[in-house]
Amino acid sequence: MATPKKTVAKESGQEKAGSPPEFSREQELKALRDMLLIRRFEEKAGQLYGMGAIGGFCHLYIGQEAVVVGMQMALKQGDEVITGYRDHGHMLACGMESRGVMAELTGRRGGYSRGKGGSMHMFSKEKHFYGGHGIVGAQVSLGTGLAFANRYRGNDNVSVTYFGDGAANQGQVYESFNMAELWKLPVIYVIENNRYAMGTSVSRASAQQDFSKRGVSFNIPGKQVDGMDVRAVKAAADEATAWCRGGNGPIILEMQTYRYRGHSMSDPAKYRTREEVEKVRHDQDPIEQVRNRLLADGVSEQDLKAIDAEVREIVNEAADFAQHDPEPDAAELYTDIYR
Amino acid sequence: MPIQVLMPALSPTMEKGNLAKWLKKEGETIKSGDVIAEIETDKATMEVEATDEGTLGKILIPEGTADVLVNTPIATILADGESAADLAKVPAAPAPKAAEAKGDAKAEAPQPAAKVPAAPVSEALPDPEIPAGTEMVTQTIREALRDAMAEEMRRDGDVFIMGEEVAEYQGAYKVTQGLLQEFGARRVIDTPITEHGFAGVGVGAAMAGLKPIVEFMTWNFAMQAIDQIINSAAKTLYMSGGQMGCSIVFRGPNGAARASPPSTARTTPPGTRRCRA
Ligand SMILES: Cc1ncc(C[n+]2csc(CCOP(=O)(O)OP(=O)(O)O)c2C)c(N)n1
Ligand SMILES: [Mg+2]
Repeated sequence: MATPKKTVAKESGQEKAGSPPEFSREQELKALRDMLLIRRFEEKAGQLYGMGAIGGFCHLYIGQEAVVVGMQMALKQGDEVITGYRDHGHMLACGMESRGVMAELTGRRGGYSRGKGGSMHMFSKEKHFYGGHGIVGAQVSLGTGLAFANRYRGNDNVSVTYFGDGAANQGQVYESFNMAELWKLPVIYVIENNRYAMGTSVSRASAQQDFSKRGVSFNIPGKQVDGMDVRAVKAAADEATAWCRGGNGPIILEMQTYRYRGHSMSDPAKYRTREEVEKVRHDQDPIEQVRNRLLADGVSEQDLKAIDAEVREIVNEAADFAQHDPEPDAAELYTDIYR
Repeated sequence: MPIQVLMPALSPTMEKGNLAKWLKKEGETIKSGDVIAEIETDKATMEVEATDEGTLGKILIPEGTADVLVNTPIATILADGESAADLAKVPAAPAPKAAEAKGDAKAEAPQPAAKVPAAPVSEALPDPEIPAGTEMVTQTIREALRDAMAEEMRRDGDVFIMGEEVAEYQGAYKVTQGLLQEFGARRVIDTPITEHGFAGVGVGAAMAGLKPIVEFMTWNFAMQAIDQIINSAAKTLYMSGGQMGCSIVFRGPNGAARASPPSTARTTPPGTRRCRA
């Protein structure tokens, strides 16, 4: 393993991004399309839930799209991704198919887990997506284990381990931080700080609200990132991947983001005002930011509409498939228990 | 064609709700994400967000209407370029029928009284797994456990062992004696006292294809990690539709011991196998 090169500022929270590096037009268009796909997919999922086509838990990612899309733009083949239950966006960003994800939401055979996992439990070895985990914080140790496997094998892949501001208070997070730094594991801990864990705001749950400092006692560097600006996310992700691939061990990125919808579908969201949501949506929306830059750069409204239409087409096709694909056979209850 | 907005279900059990308030008027522009109405159930008031763009064509259910069935069309949205004249094109959607009565009216067929099972006869049988004529050696259980692990580690480079005091200390109960010397620190790994964390690390490594042996100093401590053992290790093969299995051994001493806490685990969760020695 290479000798650690300390290239990232050690002072946690100090490196708040000024103006992030510009994207090329191709990058802007890619970011726009990928974020739109997630948004339209989630809107459709919400709608299908409303029609009773999706049951159980369903946590939407609307508002947070820039985080996964910006991170993914910095990854390379073989880098692993793992997250909690708010996972649809992560899967789409990893390149998993809309129809397979949607069909899992409706519990059909064509779903990624053949209808047996649901919204919170989907996986793709092919796309290096390791779930989809329902237990708050569990994915943090698992993601550290993925990084352990990378180091064990001596490859230069990085594990991108996402978790929420609420999950950041779980004990196993700190057990994992300790081992990750002790063993210099290549893991990027992406804390998606969307300001709430269910109905509990960060200020009501966290003594240290600067999540980039959560690694300080383990000597893990951290950085706060504007998680609503896909360019800032990509720039931070570039630095973080270089840090990990350089053999320097783990790094923390606190993504400051926001979820527009309720925690899950049945959350009346009484813990915050409509004005608060509207303000973020109006001032900071990750998709609008890119749209506005593209329009200012001379891309026509028509071209942008065409992207939206293409994305809606994919999502509608997925929804159609997800409602017509057959349900799993009852005998499936007894399969996949033992190998 | 104009798009219909349906009365949404806010939970899997919701069958109807009240249309409390319209927040958009007919003719107003709508973007996806805009809150267009508020609906109430006995449990909560919730917002209905538009998922389509256009203008609000017609409000089909006026505000203040109580007991609107889920999936009833409540409004239509006109896409760009459509006008009120297009509203006529919307097929008259049949109002959903009142939810069919839940529960099955059919009386359950009476079950024949279960036969009283005969008391089991216990008899010591020769173990069919052991081929006749096998030469037996005498050794302690801890030596047998250690030899079995060492055999696997020699056979397969992906097998490693981790746990508290398994390496330098040679095992809290000496089960891993000599393994560090033979296999080195890469494969015999001392962990901090962090059961929940290292069990998860083990499962994650196993999901990535390694074959960890995770030792708990006693099985009582494994309960710190029972979440990873059941929710992550045991159930994921099923919930991933068979893709994401995990070959992992959790081991540790369990059972009654003098002056020690009661042993904790007596059941075998689905997806795991229990071995006893
Ligand atoms: C161990 C555990 N405790 C509680 C829950 C219930 N729960 C599910 S999500 C959640 C809030 C987590 O919030 P955060 O980590 O901020 O993620 P977000 O939902 O904001 O994405 C809670 C308490 C759970 N799933 N697992
Ligand atoms: Mg949160």
